[in-house]
Amino acid sequence: MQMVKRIFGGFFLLIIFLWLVAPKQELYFLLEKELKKSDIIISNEHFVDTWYGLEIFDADIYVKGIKLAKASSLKLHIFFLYNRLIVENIETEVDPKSIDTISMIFNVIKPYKIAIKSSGSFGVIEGGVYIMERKLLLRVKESKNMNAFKKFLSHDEKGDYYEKYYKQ
Amino acid sequence: MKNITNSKLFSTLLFFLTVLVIAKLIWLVLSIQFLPKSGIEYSEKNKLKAFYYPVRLSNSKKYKPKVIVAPINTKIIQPKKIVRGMKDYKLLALYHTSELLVVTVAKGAKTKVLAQGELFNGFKLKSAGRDYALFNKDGKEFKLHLKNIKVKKAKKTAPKRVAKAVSRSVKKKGIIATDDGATKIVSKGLLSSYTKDIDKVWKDIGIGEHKVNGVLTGFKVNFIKRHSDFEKLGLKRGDILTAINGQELDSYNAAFSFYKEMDSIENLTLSIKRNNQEMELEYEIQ
Repeated sequence: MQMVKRIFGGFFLLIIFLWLVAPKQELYFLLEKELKKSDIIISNEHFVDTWYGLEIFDADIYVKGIKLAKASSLKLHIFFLYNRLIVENIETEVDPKSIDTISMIFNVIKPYKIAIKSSGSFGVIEGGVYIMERKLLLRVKESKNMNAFKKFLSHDEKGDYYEKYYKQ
Repeated sequence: MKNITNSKLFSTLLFFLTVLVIAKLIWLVLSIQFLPKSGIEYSEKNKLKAFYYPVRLSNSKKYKPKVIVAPINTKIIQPKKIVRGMKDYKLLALYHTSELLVVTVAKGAKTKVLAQGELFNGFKLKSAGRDYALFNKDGKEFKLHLKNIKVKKAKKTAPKRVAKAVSRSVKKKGIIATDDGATKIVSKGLLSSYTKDIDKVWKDIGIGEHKVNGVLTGFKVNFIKRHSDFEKLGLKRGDILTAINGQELDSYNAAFSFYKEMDSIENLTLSIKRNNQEMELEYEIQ
């Protein structure tokens, strides 16, 4: 019994230590490397390492070589079973000129999806990246000034949405 | 000492430290094997440079010719023997720095933007000075001066009221063609209307990526609305836009840089491929 206790205790301790001593910056670099495959580059940022994740300040966001936005704060919270990226105060070069927040959550309870929620001058959108289907689906929950996106949106009984499939 | 080493506390502490070391080792191995050591930073390519034109192609009173100062490090080659030639050619524009030499040469209605070493009807652009460009053909050297453009004559034949009329016409119509038809004059107001409202662009023209072997080499015109301003500019469906003012359109950034700086551009040369033939479209922004 004592041995079983030790094994289980050791396992949980290992999980906690793995979380605490995780090289968050290197994990963030890995995320950058993956984003690069989709032509997204986060550049000129400053890091602050926290015990539960990483905080990034003043990041320039480039998409396909175009500087699209400057985010004053990115918070990456790594809990392995529940990981969250929150981007705040984004000023963009194109419409919409400002985005208040974008949050991306990967929850082990829903491993098939990276949930996305965003709010700004355009309203509120919700949706996610469906990993198995390789699909990005964003639904407009609250529309304020969507003129710049109108032509990219489709419509069904649930309202306006944006859908894009990714190649393998 | 024996009591300490045998105590439960020491044993627990040792257990904790062992697990911590294992956790550290796991991350060390993962870091070495799979995790990148540095992030990805954006490196900016050369920005779009406004093309230098010695004269306005239309006869505008307001225009004052700019002066190009030759870069200090630039070696100006004095040819030993200059053969008179290229009488039918005009040097319309010259952009010369220590890094880059680009000229626009015209023969009749045909114009071409040349970088150093490129050919135009067998004439190879060799080098340039403050107000001239040197070409090679069949072992002979040819010198083409910017002053070949007959500014004085143009002034005589185009009195002030003509220049004013041209300006008024550009403002009213948005786009007009010059007498020789080689260049079009585009109103600044018309350009601004497109830069302020991007939706207006996509209503009139559809542009998509053009890739060769997976590498972006330009942007293809997929459709053009009939009687739209883009049609008046001389663009056609199927055209591939390869460069603007000598700056290759090999990235979205290059295209976006042009879009952002469009309000400050005075002259525009669009390099396009139409039916596999390279062409240049010249515009003056007024």
